[in-house]
Amino acid sequence: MIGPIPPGWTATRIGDHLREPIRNGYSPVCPTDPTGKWILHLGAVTGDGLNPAALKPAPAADPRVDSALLQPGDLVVSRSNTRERVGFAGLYRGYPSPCSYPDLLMRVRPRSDLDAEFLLYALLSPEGRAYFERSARGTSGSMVKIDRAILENFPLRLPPLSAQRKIAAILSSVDETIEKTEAVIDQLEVVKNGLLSELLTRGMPGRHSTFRETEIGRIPAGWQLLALGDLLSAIEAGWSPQCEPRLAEESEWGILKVSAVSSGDYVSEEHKALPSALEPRPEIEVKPGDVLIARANGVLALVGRSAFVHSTRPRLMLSDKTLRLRPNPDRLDGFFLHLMLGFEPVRAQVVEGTTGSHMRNVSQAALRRVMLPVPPPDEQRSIATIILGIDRRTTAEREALRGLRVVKAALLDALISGRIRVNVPVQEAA
Amino acid sequence: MALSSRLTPQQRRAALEQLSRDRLTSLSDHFGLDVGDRRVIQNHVNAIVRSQSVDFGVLLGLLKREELQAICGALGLDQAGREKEVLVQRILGGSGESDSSSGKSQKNGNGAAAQMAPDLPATGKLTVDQLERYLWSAADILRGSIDSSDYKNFIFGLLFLKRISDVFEEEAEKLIAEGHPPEVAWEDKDEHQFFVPKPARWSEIQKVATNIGEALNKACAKLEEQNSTLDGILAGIDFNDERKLGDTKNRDTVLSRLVQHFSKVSLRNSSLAEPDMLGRAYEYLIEKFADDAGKKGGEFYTPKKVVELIVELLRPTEDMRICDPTCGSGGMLIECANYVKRHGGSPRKLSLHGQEKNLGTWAIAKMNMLLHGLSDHRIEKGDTIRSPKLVDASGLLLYDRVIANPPFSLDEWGVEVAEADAHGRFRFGVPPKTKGDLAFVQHMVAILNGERGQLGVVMPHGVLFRGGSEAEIRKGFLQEDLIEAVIGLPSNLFYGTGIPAAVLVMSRAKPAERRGKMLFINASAEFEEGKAQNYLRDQDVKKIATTFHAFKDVERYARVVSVEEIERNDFNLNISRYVDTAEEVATVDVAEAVRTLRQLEAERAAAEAKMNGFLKELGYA
Repeated sequence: MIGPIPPGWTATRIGDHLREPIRNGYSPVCPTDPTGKWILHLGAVTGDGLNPAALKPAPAADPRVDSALLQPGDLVVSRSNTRERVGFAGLYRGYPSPCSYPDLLMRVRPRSDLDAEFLLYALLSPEGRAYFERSARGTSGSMVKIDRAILENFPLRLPPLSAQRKIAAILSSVDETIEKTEAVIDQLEVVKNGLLSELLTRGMPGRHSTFRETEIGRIPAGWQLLALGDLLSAIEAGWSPQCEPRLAEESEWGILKVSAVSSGDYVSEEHKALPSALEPRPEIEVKPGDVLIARANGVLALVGRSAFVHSTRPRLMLSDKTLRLRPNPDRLDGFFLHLMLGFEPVRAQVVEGTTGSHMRNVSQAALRRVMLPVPPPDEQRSIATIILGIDRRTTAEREALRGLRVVKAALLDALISGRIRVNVPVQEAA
Repeated sequence: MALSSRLTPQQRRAALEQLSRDRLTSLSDHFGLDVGDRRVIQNHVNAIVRSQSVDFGVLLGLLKREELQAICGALGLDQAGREKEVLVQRILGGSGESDSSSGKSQKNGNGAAAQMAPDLPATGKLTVDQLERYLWSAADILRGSIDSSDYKNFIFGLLFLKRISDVFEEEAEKLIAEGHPPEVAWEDKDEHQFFVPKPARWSEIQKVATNIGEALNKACAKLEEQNSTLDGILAGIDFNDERKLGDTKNRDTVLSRLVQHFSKVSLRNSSLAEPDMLGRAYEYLIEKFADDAGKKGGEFYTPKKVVELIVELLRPTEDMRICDPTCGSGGMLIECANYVKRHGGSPRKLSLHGQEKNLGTWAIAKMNMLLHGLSDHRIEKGDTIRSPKLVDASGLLLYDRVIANPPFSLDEWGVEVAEADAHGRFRFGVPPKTKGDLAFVQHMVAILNGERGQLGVVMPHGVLFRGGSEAEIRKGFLQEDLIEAVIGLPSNLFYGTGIPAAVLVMSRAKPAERRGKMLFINASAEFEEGKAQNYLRDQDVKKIATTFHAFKDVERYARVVSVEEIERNDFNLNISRYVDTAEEVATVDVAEAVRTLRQLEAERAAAEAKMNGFLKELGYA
């Protein structure tokens, strides 16, 4: 069941390292207003540890709640869940306090020879997940259970305490880097939106001192308000034949789904393979620099969403639900157009132009009528360049984040299984 | 899935609340739902009602007979019956979709739809709910084979025929019971509101086995012959229409099933729990059909809450003359009658006039009025702009209240007649050729009386700010101080269009304290969001009406504006120019956002350095 044991480590089980027996929680009927006492939500345990925001107020005076309060260093483990989630765990670090836990979580209170954080990583490691998925029982197919005995018998390869702590410290340093990178990405979005609304309403800093009122709000006096139709050389529609529900091979042609566009970012993986029996239409192949817009969607919020194609694999075609807007290059920058289509006063006009109450649709004619604030071409390019710079940075951060997650997964497996040994001062390791 | 979608979430909730916690727990488990705390019954109910994956039909199939009966009780349905399947079908509210009821069963004659229709109570009176669902299930007999906008007239027509015939028989039987000789009871026209000649009586129609279409056409013609007030109402429905109902054999099959369907329900006054039930059920059908058509982007139909809103704004009273010049199926006039009744007046004293261009819709409006017991109405056929029919020797008839939802920005509205209009209706200006909005409003202004005339009309926002002749017309309205309020509604309220609409209230006799002023209400932000469409809620309607009648400023919602201020804005009535609902937009302080970014980058660098230190220790450079 358990692989080779590194020298100096012991093969053991959780049940032998507990300060108190494993205990199920208690689920009271919860008030809606805060009482000063808290109870974890079932979703507080995840595949990455505790989500301390998943909380609700607990009744102020319920003795059974008071008897199920957590102490810093306690772990909680999901005992009934879908097979992919059963055994998800979290470490309670003392906040918020007092805090109890619900019936479907089990509390584990480790003895001082078992580091709580090390145990958390062990529970969430690939070996740990495999153990829970293997041991969980249930007849309902979707919901399965683990009981106290299963958790007590969880097999551990246990290094000396100092090594446990070191392993936990290494893994949490990766987790923290991941968390901070996510925060950086979120903040880049905030900065981008702030800059965007400033640039699209006031223009490049220092360039405009007078403004005028228009039907879509205040714009710099030097800008024009023009109908989109007058700024385009063409609008092109796509094609939606019956496709195969798989991605196209490199040499094959594919048709982009609406979801390739509707998130606001171009996602080339959102496509389906064109059956080989059908003749591709190269004239609707999507190329870098294209501005695409979702023409029809069942969800109003997704109609009229645009995406700019920075780069793409070849042989992907527009679907019938997507239009390609071809700006007249002397008058309108493609990326600037994409930014404008997401700008609220412009987007509102697109939404107003939709028809149909089931499948919402915006016609080419309605799109052509949409009024855009139009700066001089050089100012459009300056604005586009600034935003593109932020976008590139965000893309780079996302790449870095993916890399960090790979590192985390590899380290988690290698350190918990003992395949990689950590250095600890010799006298402690003995 | 189609079956379960017939129950509203409230109905599903009510149904689930009949079940024990153990049963609910087993259901949540069966469907694999994450319910949170499993001891709380409400958690199970919430999880099941909200889940996309629960087919309610399947769910009901898992229950015991006693449980199904309890659910029937909770939903106001008949609880009798031993067959689980029957109970399940009753709860789900009727038959399946077209798969079984159209094509296939049309050939076997007595098909599934008729058998699966909701059971009617054997004794006692029908509730509105039962009646509505029973009538709507008639649509299943026709659904699939033809478009609902084509077949609805057959259903409205048969329903009307059945009602008139049932009431006639009821009257005749009563006369006999009172001692009149049968020949008087059955043959004396003066004894009946509507005289139903023998071939038009339902008992006769039921006997026809072949060429039913022709028999129905004849019945309708005879009925109209004997009752001048019904003239033309049924004539427009061709029950023998080969294009819509197929060849003779097909027609006989479908029509005989429809006749059988309607035969099962008594529409006598004594069978109805409330007197105006049939009118309500009829309106329900109109709305259901509009909803059906709306999904395909067809039919135009004013949402009920918008109608209620305008009537609340205009506050009609029983002594008034009211007109809807584009009356559609008559919903606005009927809501006026309902309003008067709710406020203790007698709707029969109202003069309700309307005009409608579409012949089929005109007939529906007539039937609608009659079924609501509003026999003293006048609904004319024809195009209000090109040939106004509500006139007398001295010209246009004038009204105390004029209410309408004309088609938005109608193309080809009749610009050719406007310049030389015999009634001088377009004195403020001729609207653009392809935008009829302000032609309708000017017609409405022209038929207001000077003493207390007031109108409420739904308009697209464009009329508030578009230039050209429309700007001139607006200027004219303001110079005569006709506009009392401009009310912006939420977007996406109407079937088939996302555009936000506005309600204009105009008056020939503004109270002294409102002269030279108008009220702008920006109600665009208060609504309930639906999946395909937004809805006004009761509280939204109430808030708008209360604000209008108070005629006072409400922060970020309403503002009293002087005509001078509007003049300074070149007579632009764009609502957001006068009432801005936007909360002070929390403009992102970019400098602050960038400072936070730098801080996070520094923290990330520290974390990364620590991680890299460990990685190095492990031997990874």
